[in-house]
Amino acid sequence: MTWFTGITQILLVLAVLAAVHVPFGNYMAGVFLSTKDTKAERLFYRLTGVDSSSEQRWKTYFLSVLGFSLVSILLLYGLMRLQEFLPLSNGKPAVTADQAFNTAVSFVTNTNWQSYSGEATMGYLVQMAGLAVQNFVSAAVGIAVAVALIRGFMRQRSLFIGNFWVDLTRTVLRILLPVSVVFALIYIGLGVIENLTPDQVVETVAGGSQVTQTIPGGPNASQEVIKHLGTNGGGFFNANSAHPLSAPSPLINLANIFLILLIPSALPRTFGVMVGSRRHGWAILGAMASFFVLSLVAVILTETTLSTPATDAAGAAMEGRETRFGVITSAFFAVSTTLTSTGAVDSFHSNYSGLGGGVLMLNMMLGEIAPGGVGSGLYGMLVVAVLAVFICGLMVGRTPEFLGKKIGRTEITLASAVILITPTLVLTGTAVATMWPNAADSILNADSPHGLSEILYAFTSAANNNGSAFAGLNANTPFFNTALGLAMLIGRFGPICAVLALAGAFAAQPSTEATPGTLPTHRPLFVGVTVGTGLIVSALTFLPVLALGPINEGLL
Amino acid sequence: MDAPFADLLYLLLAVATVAGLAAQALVFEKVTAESATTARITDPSSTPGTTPGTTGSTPGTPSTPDSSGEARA
Repeated sequence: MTWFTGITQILLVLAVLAAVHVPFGNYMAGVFLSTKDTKAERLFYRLTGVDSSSEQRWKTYFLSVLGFSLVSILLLYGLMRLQEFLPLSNGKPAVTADQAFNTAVSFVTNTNWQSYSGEATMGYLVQMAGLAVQNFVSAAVGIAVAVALIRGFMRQRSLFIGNFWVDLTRTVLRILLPVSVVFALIYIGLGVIENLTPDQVVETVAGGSQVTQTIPGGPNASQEVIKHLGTNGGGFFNANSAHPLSAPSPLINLANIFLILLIPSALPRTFGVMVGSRRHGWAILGAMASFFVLSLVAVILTETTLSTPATDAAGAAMEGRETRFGVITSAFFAVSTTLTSTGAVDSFHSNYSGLGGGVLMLNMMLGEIAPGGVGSGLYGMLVVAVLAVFICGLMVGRTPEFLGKKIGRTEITLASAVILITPTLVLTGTAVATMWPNAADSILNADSPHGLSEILYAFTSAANNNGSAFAGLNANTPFFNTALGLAMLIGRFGPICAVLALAGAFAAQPSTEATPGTLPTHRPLFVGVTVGTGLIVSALTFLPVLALGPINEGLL
Repeated sequence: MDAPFADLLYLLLAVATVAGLAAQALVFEKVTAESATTARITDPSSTPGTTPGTTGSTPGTPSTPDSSGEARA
């Protein structure tokens, strides 16, 4: 894989994303601005007793999110614990209690952290009726919360921010399902498997009757698409998107990256259209793109220019990479999956150089805002923008305002809560894990800085709802299953609570007209300030632990 | 091999954590109470039974909330 091929592939994906950004963003705005329900939606509302014309205050909206997610966790947990009695389980036993807890929380929180091997642990019914369903609805929850925050900017003197059940239903039926069906058919046509065939044991071509190989089957194509589209990331196979039955060609690999970035990069357009200021949508997208380009360049450079005996011998840093995809496209995938909340992988992040792995961790530590997870990226970036407005206001002596909303004590308290919850979970969790009896037994590289990086990566990934891993850590222990499960649960809904409260606070405010004294929040200068604010906040929070782990490793 | 009552313990853990998150909403409600009060005081039309903003409110269009709780368009 040459530089030319790798860079061309990156530019191709970015060009297609640029082409669909406006129409797809406009389409999503139309979905949420529409006052009409479709026939399918009306039927669904009748069956579930939802009054689609009613609206909710922020607290009711949040409790709806929370209640829906708790029921989802309990149902998914039950499915896994009863797996051995269910059809299409192919003889697989029940998932253990701690792993079922971890997995249920993981998929409901859009994290899709996996302490299990997909093809060895989960039957087809659990995959289809449990995990795949959560891939859709957990993504829809994120988008619903982002739309609620947008409504906070749209409205004035209102106590209401929308109806969670309507937002959830519309996101699934009008956005996620149609795109998933179309791409699943394309994926099947391009060789991704989709069947209910149990594992087949076959004799290898060269090995004779004594050498056999187990070839897994399964309904993979339909789940591969929503795995990326919903920035979920949980793999049908243990090797995730490096598995040849999941990504049989470099074209599918590029399509996977496209799907990962599709919704998060189009949502700023949706935001711009809904608030009636497309310039602000471009500004938010500009901040996201700045982070993305910086990270992509950094990882490509660390993986292609660092010289070690192993990379020199192989001609490139090929350890843990698929030769079909190459170093540069693997770096593109890795940056895309860690700057969103996806967590799918087409290469082993643990095999990246110390500094390259550190950048991937920093991507998650930024809060996955560039462009971020579906919905969570947009609301995360808007919170950073609110913080940037507040800091700018303090520096230049102007009243902090964003889209006509004043950033006062209430707003900055809630924005700070959003920003502080996740780092608290990451740093506390990592500290507890390093001291926990026998936790070190899970670490493959306990005698090097990489050992700390493995734990730090796990808690960073869990608390930020990413789901990717440094594979050297054996996380299938009662301690890690429980601790990471709690990190995912609080890391998802803690910030969502503050974001919805922020939406409520903005909706309650009257809009103020822009004056000559108002700080412009749609110009390149503000984009730069927002990027700087995000970087500085993350650096101040995480630099010490990054110095002990990946930076230390990179300097050794 | 799971410990005895493992299911019960993990279900209790999930419920307790979610309950804690719900309690967080009560804390933030106090934080936002000032804004909500401002909205009620500032908007003279916000009396029970009036028409609220709909899902698709036009940007910049004031909506008139129903302060009794759930609202209908």
